[in-house]
Amino acid sequence: MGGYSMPQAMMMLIPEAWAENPLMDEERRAFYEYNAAMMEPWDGPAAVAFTDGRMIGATLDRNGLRPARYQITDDVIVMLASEMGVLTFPQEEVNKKWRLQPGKMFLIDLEQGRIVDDEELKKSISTARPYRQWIEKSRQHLHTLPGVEDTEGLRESLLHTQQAFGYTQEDIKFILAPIASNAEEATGSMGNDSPLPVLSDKNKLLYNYFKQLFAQVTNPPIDPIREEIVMSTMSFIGPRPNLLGIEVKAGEEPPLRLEVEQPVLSSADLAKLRQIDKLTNGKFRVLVLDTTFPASEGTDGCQAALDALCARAEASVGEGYNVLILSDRNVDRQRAPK
Amino acid sequence: MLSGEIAKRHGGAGLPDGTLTIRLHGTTGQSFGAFLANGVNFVLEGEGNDYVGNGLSGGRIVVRPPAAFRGETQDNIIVGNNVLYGATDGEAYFSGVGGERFAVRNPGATAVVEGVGDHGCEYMTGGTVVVLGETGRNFGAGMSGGFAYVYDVDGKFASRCNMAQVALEPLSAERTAADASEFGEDTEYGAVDLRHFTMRDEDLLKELIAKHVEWTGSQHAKSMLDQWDKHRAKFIKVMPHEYRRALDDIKKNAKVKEAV
Repeated sequence: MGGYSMPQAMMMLIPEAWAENPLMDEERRAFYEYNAAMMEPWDGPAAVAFTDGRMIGATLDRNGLRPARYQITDDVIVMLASEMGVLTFPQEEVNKKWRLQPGKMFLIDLEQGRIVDDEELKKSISTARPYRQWIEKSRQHLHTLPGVEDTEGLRESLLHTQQAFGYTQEDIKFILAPIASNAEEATGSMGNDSPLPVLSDKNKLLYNYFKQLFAQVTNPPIDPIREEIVMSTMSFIGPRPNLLGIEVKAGEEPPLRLEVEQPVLSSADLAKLRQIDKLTNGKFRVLVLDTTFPASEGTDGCQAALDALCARAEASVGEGYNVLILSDRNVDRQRAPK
Repeated sequence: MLSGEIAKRHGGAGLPDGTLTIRLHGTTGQSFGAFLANGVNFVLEGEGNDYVGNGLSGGRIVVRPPAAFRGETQDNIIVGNNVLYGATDGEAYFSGVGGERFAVRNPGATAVVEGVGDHGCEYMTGGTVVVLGETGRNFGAGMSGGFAYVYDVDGKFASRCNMAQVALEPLSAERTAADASEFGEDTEYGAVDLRHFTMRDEDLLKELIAKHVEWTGSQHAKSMLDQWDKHRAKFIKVMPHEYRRALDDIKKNAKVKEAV
């Protein structure tokens, strides 16, 4: 719909493991790196078939945890399924038996009447645009920016501020302390029988409202140390390329990219972000939006304040700000966090 | 069920080699020959899906293409992913290519195959795997035991190998021990395949390829044996560091036993 060819759309949706893959050629890596800003990679695990009437094909997630096998007969019938034996052909008529390989694409161009080789296909797509050039011209790494002094202090004592946000002794002692001292999450196994925050009348920490029900069970069990080629945590702040505007007109600058190596920002990172205008001499324009409101207005005040915040954020983008910081630093006796 | 009945009567030792041979044609479902007991041969003319030989326990599984199929065995897939996952003992001969994670977490089975996908021999702790063709990426990741002999088709195998726990060596010319008697009868070394001591790499490799030809009739493998001198130098031995240490310790203890 956005003008992408079918194979290109699939390459964006289910990318290969490109981050630490030394065997991948430069242009293809640039294609995946550029499009990572537009589309969250979908890891599956899955074997996905697709067609737009002119092309038909299938692709496998980059971990290769789902089977996909195909065979080709002399009169060019292609049978692809997750298992062999779904349809059988006289064996003397079959000339090729193969499988979909992790991150590889199997594509048939019905108009050209041929199977398009994965290498050829991805070469043509990744060299159609100067992706590497676009990246280098528009990319800004946060970690390469010079450090700046963090001048943002708390308005109240640490304890009072923690209480304002619903932190409990338990959060500090059993969750935050181990992370700070061992640089890894504490592992607990007793489960958590406290009521869901939305049902509780207690003041709950924001993060407790987000439950991650996610377990990728693989058989055999695999771990990211042995197969780290598939795990990438690179993230983006602020502007993104326009998903529906694939053309960067001649002379037009490709959209800016502000990259961080992983999504959790330290206060030092935030300090840089607050002064990113100066640090990138105006390339990025940042606006800090206050997310606190007068506590005296109570809960109905909160709704109004939220609506105002959303409207203000939207308007500021129109005014040319491309990095918005939602800040709750103004929390104090009079002002509560939204 | 068959293996279960055999195990009930004969325990893990199963039946003498070759007592029962079952011939099959066509395509098998997943986990073909899983937990197959010692003494039973499954000979399949056709192809297998994922998990062929899952937990193989001493039996022999052979998969060869149908006689009418004209494709080259080393260029066509014949078994799926996670083949021989957790196989403790037994043999498998596949005249064709295997999928991803071939012989993953294999503690003791012997297998010959004509190509494998990514993550071959991942987490392997014992046994012997011969690959007569190209491998995928990340071969030998987390491999701590057993041998793998890989035919380096294009000279680039090293770039596809995960070198974190293994070393790549040429076929060694001498044996690591004179003969099994050095270790006495009670070879309680669990997952260690005694042939890894008592046979030279080249002899073990050629014996396994010959058995592969015998059971599958593979022309690809046969041509390698016929012009062995030409192909010999392309075989690389994948040697896990921990397995090297274990073998050296066992030899040291054996010497101590003799001296006492």
